[in-house]
Amino acid sequence: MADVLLLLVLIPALAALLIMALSSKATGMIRAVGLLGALIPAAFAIAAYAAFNHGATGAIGATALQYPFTVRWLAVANAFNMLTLHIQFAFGVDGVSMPLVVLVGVVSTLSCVRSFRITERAKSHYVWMLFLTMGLYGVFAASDLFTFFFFLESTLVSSYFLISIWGGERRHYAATKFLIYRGFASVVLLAGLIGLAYTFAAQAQSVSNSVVLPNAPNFLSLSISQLIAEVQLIQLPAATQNVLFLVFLLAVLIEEAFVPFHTWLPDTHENSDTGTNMMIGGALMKIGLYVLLRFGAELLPLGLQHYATLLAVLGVISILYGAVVAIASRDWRRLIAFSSISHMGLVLLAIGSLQAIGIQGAVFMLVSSGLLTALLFFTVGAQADRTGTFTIANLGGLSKSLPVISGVMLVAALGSVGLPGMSGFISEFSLFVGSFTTFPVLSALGTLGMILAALYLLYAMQRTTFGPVETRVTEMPDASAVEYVPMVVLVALVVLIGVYPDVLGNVVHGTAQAIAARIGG
Amino acid sequence: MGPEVIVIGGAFLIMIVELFLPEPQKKISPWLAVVALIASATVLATRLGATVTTYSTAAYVVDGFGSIFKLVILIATLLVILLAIADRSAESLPYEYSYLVLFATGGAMIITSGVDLVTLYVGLELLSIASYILVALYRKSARSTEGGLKYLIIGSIASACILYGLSFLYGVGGSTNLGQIGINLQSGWTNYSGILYLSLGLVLVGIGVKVSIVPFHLWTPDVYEGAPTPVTAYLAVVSKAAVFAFFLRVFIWVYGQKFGQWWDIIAWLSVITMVVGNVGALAQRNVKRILAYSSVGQAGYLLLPFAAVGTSTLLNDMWQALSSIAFYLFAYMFMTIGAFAVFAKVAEASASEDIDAFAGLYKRSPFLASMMTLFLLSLAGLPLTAGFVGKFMIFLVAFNTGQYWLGVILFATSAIAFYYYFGILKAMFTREPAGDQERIKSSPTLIVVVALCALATLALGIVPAPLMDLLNGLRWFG
Repeated sequence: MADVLLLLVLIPALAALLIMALSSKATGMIRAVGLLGALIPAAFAIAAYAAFNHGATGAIGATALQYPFTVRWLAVANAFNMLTLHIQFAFGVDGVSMPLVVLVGVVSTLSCVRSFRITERAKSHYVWMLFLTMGLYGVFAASDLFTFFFFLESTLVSSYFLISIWGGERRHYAATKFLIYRGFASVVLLAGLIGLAYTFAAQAQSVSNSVVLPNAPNFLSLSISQLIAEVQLIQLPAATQNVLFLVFLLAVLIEEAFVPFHTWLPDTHENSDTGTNMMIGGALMKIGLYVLLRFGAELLPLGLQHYATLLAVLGVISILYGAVVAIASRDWRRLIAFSSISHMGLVLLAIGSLQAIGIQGAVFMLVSSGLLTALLFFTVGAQADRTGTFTIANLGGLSKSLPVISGVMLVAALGSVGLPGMSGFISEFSLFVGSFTTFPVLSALGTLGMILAALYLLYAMQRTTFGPVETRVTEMPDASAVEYVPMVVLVALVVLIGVYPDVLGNVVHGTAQAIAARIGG
Repeated sequence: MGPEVIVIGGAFLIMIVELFLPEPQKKISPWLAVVALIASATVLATRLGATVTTYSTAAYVVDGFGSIFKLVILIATLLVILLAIADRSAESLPYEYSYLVLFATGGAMIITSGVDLVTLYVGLELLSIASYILVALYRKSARSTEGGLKYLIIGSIASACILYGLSFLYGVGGSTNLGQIGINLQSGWTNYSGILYLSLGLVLVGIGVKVSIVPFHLWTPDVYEGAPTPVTAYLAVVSKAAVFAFFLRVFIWVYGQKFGQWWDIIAWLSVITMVVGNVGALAQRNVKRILAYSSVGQAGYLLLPFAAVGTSTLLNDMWQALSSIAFYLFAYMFMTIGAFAVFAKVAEASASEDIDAFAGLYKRSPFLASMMTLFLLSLAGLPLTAGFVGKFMIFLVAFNTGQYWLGVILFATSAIAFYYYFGILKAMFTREPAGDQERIKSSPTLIVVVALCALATLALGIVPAPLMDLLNGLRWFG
């Protein structure tokens, strides 16, 4: 079990290489290998989740990460002040990343199921899907700055090809925009990561006489657990923390598509195929906020405290702007994209609250939003396969011809709105409890977003599933057996978290408390 | 002196043999060149760890610095000749190239080991004149002749500048031996600083032209585009490496005494080279011109470590800078020659040098498409490729000496470069092949060249430790 995180990264990569060796015509074999390449790591991820030690997290020390695995790669002598830099691939998960790893597992497997529909260049599609899966696992499971950045870049490359080959009309434009925005964010992130490593090393060296540090005299380290252990001990000056936090914040704003850097996300979602949309909306779009939690909150606590209000304001702006534009959206995919922007604004507000319950709500919302976005994209894509359109105005009365698909779509919409009994409710409840403590006025504005969510989602649902039958095709087959699988799994997970939140809460609780303790909430 | 003797002797031998061979049998002459190069490289490799020896009253020295650069030059020339053998373009390359390349390589090797002003200049001229002819080798092509003429005129002016600068150096230093000049100049800097800075400027301008540093790079896109592709690869790698060796040798041994005062000139040259080289490629459609601008940008990266150590007084920093330059030259050699090799085949198959020639390459030749992807990702600097490790080592030098701004610009320009490399990747994978969809068959020689370059790029990216240890343990100047 100790090497499980390495398996999560290796198995999709090996499956991708295996598919590359197959002939393009062996579609059945390709789909089977592709599905297994996503299913087996997902099973391992769920097993690791079940065996997760709830009590072990929360300690300020190098033991906070579970399932650690390290493989050394390079040792560069004299990298900084005569210190040796060890570049390695290191993995480890704590209460924040473990649920996200499982989320990747679930979403990637179901995207592979959905991609059974791809007939053209199916081989390349599964190869890129599996590389994207590998990258996502690596990003969330990484416990080392280099490992994190390496896998982040691989998600960038894989997504670019997925969008630009199998996408819609303006796929090249959307893919290029995706690459430029996220590429720029990656550069800013890299600058932040390097700055982090070097300022920690310099500060550690200067206080090494008075304080006993873990792993001394190896001050220059890219290991996240070592950096976390050092945070309280070395006391990086507030000014440095503020600057670094701003650098990370800029990267996060672009990566997570917060207003005003959000324009790439609706274009990307509108011009990608459904399987890719599920991956991007369900898993890729959680990386930005994960960066904020991992590097911003855990490693730069003073910076987060200083800019908490800014975070809350930016969050509320995204909540309201996303919701308002979603109301005006004509295309389902753009609507889901803006809904996603709006929900991520909630998470930003929650992190700004600096409360343990807020941070727990933030992680809940990441997972819940990932599952619900994937479900929404799946059902919308399923109905578009049959009706041929994503434009809301051209749809209507689907509940008559597609009762199952429109039923599940309604469930997804209600989950996004925050209906009690589903994961969205418990997430929003937790994060608002946290944020009302710190920012009562801004949170009140934020709750407006929930009302607007009901407005845009239910209005779109009403026009799509109820009302007169608009579409010309009346004889449409409802969901097939294969399509039942993603729908049932996602609905089950959403309801499970909704009625029994401890299944997620037990894992997140300890780490959320530890993070909040560090940022003084 | 063994390696140089083998190369130049081989060149003479091939020249005579080629003169007397009948037309159908002339095609063994490049293979003779391959044999000469392999022999020379073997002799060099056995001498790599040997102690420093000086020859003929110190006109020539065999030290670690020279040996490493010679290794790069020999391997690069070998790959270029193999590429030329595999290149079956519409116009066949006249077989004179076999010995012309060897003469140019001989000149390059003389530069790397020379410590006398005259020796250095002779080597430089041997390299340059042979290169002028090589560029214009497609006699019936107007672009090739235009390129050759441009290169001849601009290159000759550059050589003249260098000679003029070196003559001032001789005037003040009183000797043509670099070591002797270095000793004599201890007092010369205060008395004759005007003349010495003039000499520095002239040599810098001349070298800037030859290595394609902005703003002396304007000849590069036209000459690279007009020359036959193997010659372009040769210019991009060997010519650059050799003149870089010239630059480092002269500047470290002579001008370096007062480095702290003029290092920012080099730093600014490096910065504008990186920026203009990478930004200039954004607008290009001809892949050869894209690779030309890209190599201008790479010259900026090569200049960066040398500029960064200007503020440092630690000798260790200088060795680290030289190690990073040498490592990056190895990485640069493999990825550039690999990219040019794939480009040569694709351009010949599609009869076009535009990005459109690469459209749908994944279908026409999955092998070439995946190899080109590897080379482009290495040029862009993605981890697990040689380009990443090379850039990382250069970046470390910038950080160690406190020149963070240089490191930042390195990353920013690399990010910009991503865009045009992805343009080629996009054409290869996302577009459909135009017109005829026949598969591209690569000859065995081409497969060998491309595979060797790809293997080396991956090897240096995944296990760079052997080369890094070799460079760190090298005794650069004895």
